[in-house]
Amino acid sequence: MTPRALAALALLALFGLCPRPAGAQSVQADLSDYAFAITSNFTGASLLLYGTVVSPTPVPPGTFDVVVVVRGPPVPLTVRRKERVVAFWINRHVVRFEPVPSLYYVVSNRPLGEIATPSVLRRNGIGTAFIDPDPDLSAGAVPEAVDADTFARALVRTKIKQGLYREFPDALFFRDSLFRAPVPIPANAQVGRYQVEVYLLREGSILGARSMSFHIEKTGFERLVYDLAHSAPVFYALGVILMATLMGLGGNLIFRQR
Amino acid sequence: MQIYLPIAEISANIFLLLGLGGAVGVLSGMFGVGGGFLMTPLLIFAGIPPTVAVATVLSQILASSVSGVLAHMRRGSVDFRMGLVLVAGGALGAGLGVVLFDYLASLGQIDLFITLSYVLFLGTIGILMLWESVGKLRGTSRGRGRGGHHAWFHALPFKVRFRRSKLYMSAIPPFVVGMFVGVLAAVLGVGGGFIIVPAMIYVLRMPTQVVIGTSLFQIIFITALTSFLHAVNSQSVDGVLAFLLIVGGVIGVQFGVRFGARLRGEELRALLAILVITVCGRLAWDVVTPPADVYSVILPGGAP
Repeated sequence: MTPRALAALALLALFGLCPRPAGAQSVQADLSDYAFAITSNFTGASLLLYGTVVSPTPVPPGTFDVVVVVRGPPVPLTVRRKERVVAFWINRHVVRFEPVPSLYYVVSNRPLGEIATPSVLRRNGIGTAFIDPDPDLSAGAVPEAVDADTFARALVRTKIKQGLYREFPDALFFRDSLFRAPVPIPANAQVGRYQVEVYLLREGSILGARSMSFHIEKTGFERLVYDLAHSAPVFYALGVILMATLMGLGGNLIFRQR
Repeated sequence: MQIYLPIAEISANIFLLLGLGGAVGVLSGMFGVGGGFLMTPLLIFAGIPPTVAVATVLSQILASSVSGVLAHMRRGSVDFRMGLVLVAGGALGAGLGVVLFDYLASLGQIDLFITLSYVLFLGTIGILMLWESVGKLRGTSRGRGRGGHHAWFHALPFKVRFRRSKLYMSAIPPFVVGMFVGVLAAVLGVGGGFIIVPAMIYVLRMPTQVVIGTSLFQIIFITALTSFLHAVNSQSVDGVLAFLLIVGGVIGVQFGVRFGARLRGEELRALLAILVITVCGRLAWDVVTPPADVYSVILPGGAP
């Protein structure tokens, strides 16, 4: 934990002890870092979310639940389905989707099913079961024969398999009214802004919420390569071709001397 | 050791990439094929996005081909004149191929068309090559003598002396072969090494060793052009990934040229035939067996 995080924790602890109007229970939270730099040896990182439950009257432990939802920068995705045509399996139908979070993590102190009813979770978009990608209808309606719903479910299933949509049901820890939740950032995390929502629940209903964000960006050489490829593609293309040619020549020279 | 690839936006193992580049480089040096058919699926399997894999492999093939051509030049096994005629035909063919591709795409079902014609093509070539080369190796082949055999196209005009290939023939057949391969390359999305190598051996009747050097020579032009187009159009060429693959590739290709030079033409052709049949078999298997998951998720513009 960084010194800054510790200081903030101490402050939050003080804040938690301050008297507040009765009945107003809320949640305070903060992140250990707001920016992650991707360098050449980036293999993922870890983020710590910490906070406190603000309650005017002391409550026994186990009264509150806290759920943290992290959403990666949205990306439009396309799902294809293979079908059997005569004797061959080929990609037949395609459904394009409106942008969905590139990453979706839910961290909570116990399984979501024990915290709230499905309808509460669904309404707030909490849980991988309630991600509902919408088909992109800008290019016309999805044909009748294509059940867009099964395509949407396949999309979520694939993301879960890739480890990009995930629930961490027992990864948020309480210590009295303080809590902390480590959030892993995988190596294949998309660059961009990440939204974090923190929900405070009691007996299945949401008492309060906080939202914050952090971002992941490339720096140094990685940034340079990426920017060059996008801002000066012709120059970049010629550079790559030149590099390939020179390296081809070089490889040959090294071997000629043997 | 992991390294982050800035365009692919994932990190991958350095040694895996160097090893892949090296292994595919050996094949390029031996057989005069680019090796994209092997490298692209392997990279996708390693987690690289398909568009990045397709575009970046081209620059690795470019480097391996430069390195390989120089190694072949020292052995005098590159026919530059033939190579240039093939390139000229190929450029025209690629232009026609793009038009044909658009037409087929407008008809729909281009996926099936591409896969089937690829399987059919590779299968036929592979089996014919294996038949011929194994026959030669056993010394039982009759007729179809190479050299001194006059095909009908020897009567065509624009005769050119292709000294390295020991041929004196019209420039039209190699131009047409180049064009045909260019069309296929554009429609099927393959470099064409698999098609041009057998075509030079069996249609143009060039010596196998010269075919490999000359094939690499024309691949230089094709990959330089296509990787330029990919980098400009889709910004999907990953410079860091390319660098690592190239380091492996330029070393591998030198070994490949050496191995290849030790083998007889028939042996090389038999090995290439087995390789072609394996690739064809894998493609056919993919398309005939039920997939583990019928759904696949791709990023916008992400070709398979």
